[in-house]
Amino acid sequence: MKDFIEKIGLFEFFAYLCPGAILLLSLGLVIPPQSDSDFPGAALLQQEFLQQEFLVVVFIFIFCYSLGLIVASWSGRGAEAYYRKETSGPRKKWNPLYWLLRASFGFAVRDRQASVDARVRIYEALPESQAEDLKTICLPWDFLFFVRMMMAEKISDKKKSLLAEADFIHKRFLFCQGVAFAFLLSAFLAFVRLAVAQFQARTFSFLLEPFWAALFLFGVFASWGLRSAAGYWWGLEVILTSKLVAHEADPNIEARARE
Amino acid sequence: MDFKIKDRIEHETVVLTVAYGYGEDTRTKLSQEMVQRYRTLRAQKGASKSCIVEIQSEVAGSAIVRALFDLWKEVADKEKDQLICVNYPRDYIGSLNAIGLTTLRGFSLAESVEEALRQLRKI
Repeated sequence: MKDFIEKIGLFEFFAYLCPGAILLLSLGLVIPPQSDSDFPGAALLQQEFLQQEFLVVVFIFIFCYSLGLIVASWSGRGAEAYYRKETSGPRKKWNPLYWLLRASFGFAVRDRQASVDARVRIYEALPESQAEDLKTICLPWDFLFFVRMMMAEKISDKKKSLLAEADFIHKRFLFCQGVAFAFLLSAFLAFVRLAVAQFQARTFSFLLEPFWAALFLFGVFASWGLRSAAGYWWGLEVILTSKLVAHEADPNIEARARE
Repeated sequence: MDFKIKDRIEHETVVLTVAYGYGEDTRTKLSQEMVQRYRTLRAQKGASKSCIVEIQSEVAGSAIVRALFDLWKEVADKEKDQLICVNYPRDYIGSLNAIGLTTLRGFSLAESVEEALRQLRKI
């Protein structure tokens, strides 16, 4: 198992397995507790292959990983759709789709012009042949990652730490984005459970189901907090990548800046 | 020079038609030339601040991206002013989005000059 985890890598473990695990656990919590005999999966649990712990663990890992990849991919696409809507003009305030995207995937977009300027500079620093390879890249955050990947061989040893830091921030950004959406889905599940309980009791009180209320509030707060962090990391990643590319395009930039 | 720019006024709007290839001249001078043409034509004919750029090339690269960004800075400093790019090579729109140009206020893409003029409510 240790070798398996090492091969997958810690980043994969955190960025993709975590969102899947969070969602799977939330789904598990939503199933109401029942006695063994009533439990719909009781017959399934008696199956011979489920008695083998190793198989079950591997299956759960693969399931969580797949679920995590799906959640992370939705999260990325959703964040991109939000980013486009956010910057599409003044009429968005009356658009329900905008508010849905904002609630689900919104993050702080800071200083748009400076960020675009930095990305144009990054694009300019690439040779035409490499810029051509980027034409299929659609997500703004993938663009930065691919630029660094293309430049990795050329980067001098002095700047390797800058490259490593930018890559690390990119991983942090992906982790925040994926887990934020998983927490939001958990909050949604808790809300549904809470709403059903309120409806059955024909009353409204958060104290009626304090666990679900707490999970709902935590999910919303964690999702919002992680998305804010993702916006911050992305801004930082743009700056670091632009510095890295500028240094590679003109190694004497610091000396000339001092002059 | 490895690029050609034609300029005209349509419905009081500056329209720059640009054809380019890859080359050192394009990388260094396209942006400068387009901004200069826009300023001159606007000053001579008193056109509105919005501008349409019509592209007549099959490829796109850093030169046209830089030129569009510099022109946008010149054009779209107020809410109503727009820079509309017509016929931007379809295959390269993804990278234009990734760089963030299409997310700038007042920057948009159109299929034809007529569509761009409709967006500007000129026709």
